[in-house]
Amino acid sequence: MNKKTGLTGAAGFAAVFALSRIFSETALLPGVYIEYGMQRFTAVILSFLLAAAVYIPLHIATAKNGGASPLEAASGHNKMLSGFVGAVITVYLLFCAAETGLRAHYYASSTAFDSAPSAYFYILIGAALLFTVSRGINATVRAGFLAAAGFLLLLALITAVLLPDIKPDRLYPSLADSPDSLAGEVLDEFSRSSELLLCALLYGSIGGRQGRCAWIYIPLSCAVIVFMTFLYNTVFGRLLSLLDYPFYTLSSVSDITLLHRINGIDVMIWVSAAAVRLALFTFAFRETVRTCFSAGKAADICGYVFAAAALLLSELFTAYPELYEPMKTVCSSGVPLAAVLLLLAAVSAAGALRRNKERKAVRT
Amino acid sequence: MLEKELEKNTVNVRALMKNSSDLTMKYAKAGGVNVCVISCDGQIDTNRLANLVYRPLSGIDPEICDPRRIAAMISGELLIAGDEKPVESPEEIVAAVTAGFCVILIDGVEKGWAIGIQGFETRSVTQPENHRNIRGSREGFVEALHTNMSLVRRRVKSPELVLTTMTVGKTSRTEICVCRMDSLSDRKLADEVIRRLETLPLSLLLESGFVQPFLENRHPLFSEVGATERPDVFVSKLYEGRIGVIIDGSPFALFVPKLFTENFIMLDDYVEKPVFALFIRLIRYMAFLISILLPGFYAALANFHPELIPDALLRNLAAAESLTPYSVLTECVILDIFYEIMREAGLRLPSNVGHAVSIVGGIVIGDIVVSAGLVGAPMLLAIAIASISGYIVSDLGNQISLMRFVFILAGGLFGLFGLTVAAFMLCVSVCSAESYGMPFTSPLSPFSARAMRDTFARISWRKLARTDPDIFENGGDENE
Repeated sequence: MNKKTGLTGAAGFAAVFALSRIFSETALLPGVYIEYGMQRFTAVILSFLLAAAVYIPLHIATAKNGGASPLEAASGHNKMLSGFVGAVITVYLLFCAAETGLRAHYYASSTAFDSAPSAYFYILIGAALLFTVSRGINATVRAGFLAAAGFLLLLALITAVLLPDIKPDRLYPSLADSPDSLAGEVLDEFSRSSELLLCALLYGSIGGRQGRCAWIYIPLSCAVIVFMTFLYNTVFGRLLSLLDYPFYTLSSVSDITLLHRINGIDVMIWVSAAAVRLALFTFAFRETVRTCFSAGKAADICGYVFAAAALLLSELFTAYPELYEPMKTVCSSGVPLAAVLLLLAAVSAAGALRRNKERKAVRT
Repeated sequence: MLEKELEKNTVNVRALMKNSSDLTMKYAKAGGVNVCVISCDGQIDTNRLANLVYRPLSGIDPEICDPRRIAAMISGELLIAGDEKPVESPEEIVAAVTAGFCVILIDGVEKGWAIGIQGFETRSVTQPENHRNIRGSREGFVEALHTNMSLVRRRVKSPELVLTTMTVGKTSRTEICVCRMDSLSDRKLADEVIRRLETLPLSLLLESGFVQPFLENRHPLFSEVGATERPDVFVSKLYEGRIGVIIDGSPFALFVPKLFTENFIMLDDYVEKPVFALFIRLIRYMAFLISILLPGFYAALANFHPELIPDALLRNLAAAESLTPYSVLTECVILDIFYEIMREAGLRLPSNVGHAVSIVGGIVIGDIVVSAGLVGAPMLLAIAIASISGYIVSDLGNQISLMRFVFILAGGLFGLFGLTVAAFMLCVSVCSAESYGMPFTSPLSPFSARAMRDTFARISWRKLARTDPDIFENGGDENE
C-alpha cells in the first residue's frame, strides 16, 4: 500500500495483471493449441515486444498530460469524444469479461471440475465475483496477489517434481520453424494481453508511480510464459501439440506422494484468477463509466450489472457453440492493439482540442 | 459546589449515594474544628487510613480553631499520602470515594481533599492462562489497572512510554489507560483511539471485550484489535508503534493495529535460534490451513475427486467408508458439530468435570462411533487432526471453527470447485480488512520485502537490532 495515497502500488497491480495474463495463456479457448517447437519462444517474446511498443506512445502521452489517467485525458475536453471512447471501451471490456468466463468454464469443466454442472459454475463464480466487486479494488488486488504467489509456489513445486523429466536436448537452435505462421501466432499471443488496457484504465487506482505498472507487468508476464513454454517443450516434446491444456497436464503428472496429482490445486488457482480477472474488468468498466459518462454513484450499480451481463454472455456462448467460432476469430485478431490505439488516438485528439481552445483563448 | 457548613455537605453526599450501606462517614476534631472523613467500605486500606489520615489529623494542635489554617495544613504541611487531589462538589466526592479515595471535609471550608488510600482485594500477579511460553516472564496482567500499568512501566523505564488514563462508562466509571511509545507511534492513531474511547456509548464496562468492538472496523470475521495477557508481549507491541489500551477490571490488554500474520508469531520465537523460529512458524501456518481445510478437502476428494488420492490410500478409505450408513458430508458435519459441542462443554465446565467430558467424548464416544460403524475412522482422524491443529493458532480459535464448517459444506456439496470459491471469497474478505489504515494482510499482501525478516522467518537478533522496528514502515512500502 502506498503511504501517501492509501492505494496498492504499481508492483502489486503488475503481479495481479501478470497472473491474469497467464490465466489466458493456461486456460486456452477450445480448439486453440500450443505448437511444439522453438518458434513458440520467438512468438511469445515478439508479442510482448509488440505490447511494449504499443504502450510506449500511450505512456508518453500520459506523461505529457501531467500524470492524469489516459481515460481522464481522453474524456476531459469533449463530450462527444468522451462518449464514443466510453462506448467502444465498454463493448471491448464486456467482450473480454465474457471471454474470461468462457475460458474459465471450459477449463474447469474439461479438467478437474468436470463434475460441476454449468449452472453451478456460473452461479458460484457469479457470487464470488459480486462479492469481490463489493469489497473494492484494493481487496481484489491483494487477494489476486496471494493467488499469484500461490501460482508461483505451484510452478516451483511442479518444476521440482518434474525435474528428472526435463530433457533440454528437446530444444534446438531455431527462431522460426514455420515463418508463414509466425505472424499469426504473434498476433494471437498479443491478443491475450488485454491487461495492457487495464494498466491504462485503472491508472487512477494505482498508488505511487503508476507509470511503472506496465513496465513491470510486461517483462514479468513474458518471463513466466517463456519459462512455462520451456517446461512444455522439454517435458512433453512433440506430444505438446496433442494437449488441450499443457499446464494442467504438467500438474496432472506431478505426483507429490501425499496427492497422486496436483491438478486439483492447479484448477483452484485458475478459477481464483478468473474471478480476479473478471473483477478487474468490472472495475475498469466502472472507471470508464465514471469518467466518460460522468456517472457518480450510479457507476457502482452499473458495475454489478456489467458483471452479471458478462457472465450471462459467457453462459450464452457456452449454450450456443455456433456463436463461439466468430468470437474465437475476434479473440485472436489483435483487438487489444485496437483498444489501446483507440485510447491513444483519443488522448491525442483531446490534447489537440485542448491546445486549440488555449490558442483561441489567447487570441480573444 | 460544596457548602461552608459541613452538615449540609455530608447530607448532600449521602443523598447522592442514595444512603448506600457501604458509605462510611467518620466525624472527628482536627485542632478545634469539626472534620468528616468520608470513604467507601471495602475500597480502602484501613491501616493506611489510620496512619495517613487519622494520625496526622489528631496531631493538630487543639488551639488552632481557624478552618482555613487547618485546610492549609492538610494541603501543605501535613500531608499525608502521595495521591492527593482537591474536590469541590458532592459529585466529585462520590467519584473519588467510589474509586477508593477517602475525602476529608472541614467545617467552614468549601473544599475537600481526596486522599488515595485504595486497599481493595486484588488477585496477585500470576502466570497467564493463555499464551504460555517456555522461556520468558511468568507474569501476567491482573484485573487491577494500576498493577498492570506498573507491570508495563517496569519494562520500559523511559519517558518515551506515555500512559494516559481516562474514565469511561457513565455507570461503571471504568478507568482506562492508553499506552504508547512517543517517538515510535503515530500520534494520529493514538488520537483516533482516544477519540473512540471518549465517545464510547456504553454505560457499563466489565471486560476489555466490551471496548474491543468500538476499536474495530466492523469486519464480520476477523478482529483487527489484538488482546494479550502478557505484559512482555504488550510492551513489544508498543515498541513496534502500536497503541495499547489497558482496562480496569480486565486481565486482557488490547493493542491496535493488529495484522493477520501476528496470529502466527509467539514470544518464544524470539528466544530460540532463528532456524527453529522459521520451522515453528511454518508449522503454525500449515496447522492453520490444515485446521480449516482438511475436513472440507477430504469431503471434496472423497465425494468428487477420488482420482487425486493415491491408489493404496484410496482403497483403505473406500473400505472404511463402505461400512458406514451415512454420506461423507453427513459424517463430516455430524462429527464437526459433535466436536464443537464437546469443546464448548469442556470450556465452561469446572476442570474436574471437564476431564470426565474429555474422556467420555474423546475415548468412549470416539471409539464407539467407529466400532459401531456409524462413522468411518478416516473421517474421525481428519476431524481430530483438524481440531488439534486449530489449537496451535489459539487466537483464531473461533474463526477456525466457523471457517472449517463452511469449507466442509462447500467441499462436500460442490467439490473442489466449491472449496475454491469459498476459499477465494474468504481471501477477498480478509484482504478487504484494514486496521487503522493498515491492510490486515500486510506484509504478505501488499507485499513488503523488508518486513519478511520477521514474518515467516525471523532473522537473527544481531541483524534485527540494526534498525528500529516501525510497523508503519513495514506495512507501508509494499509493492512499491
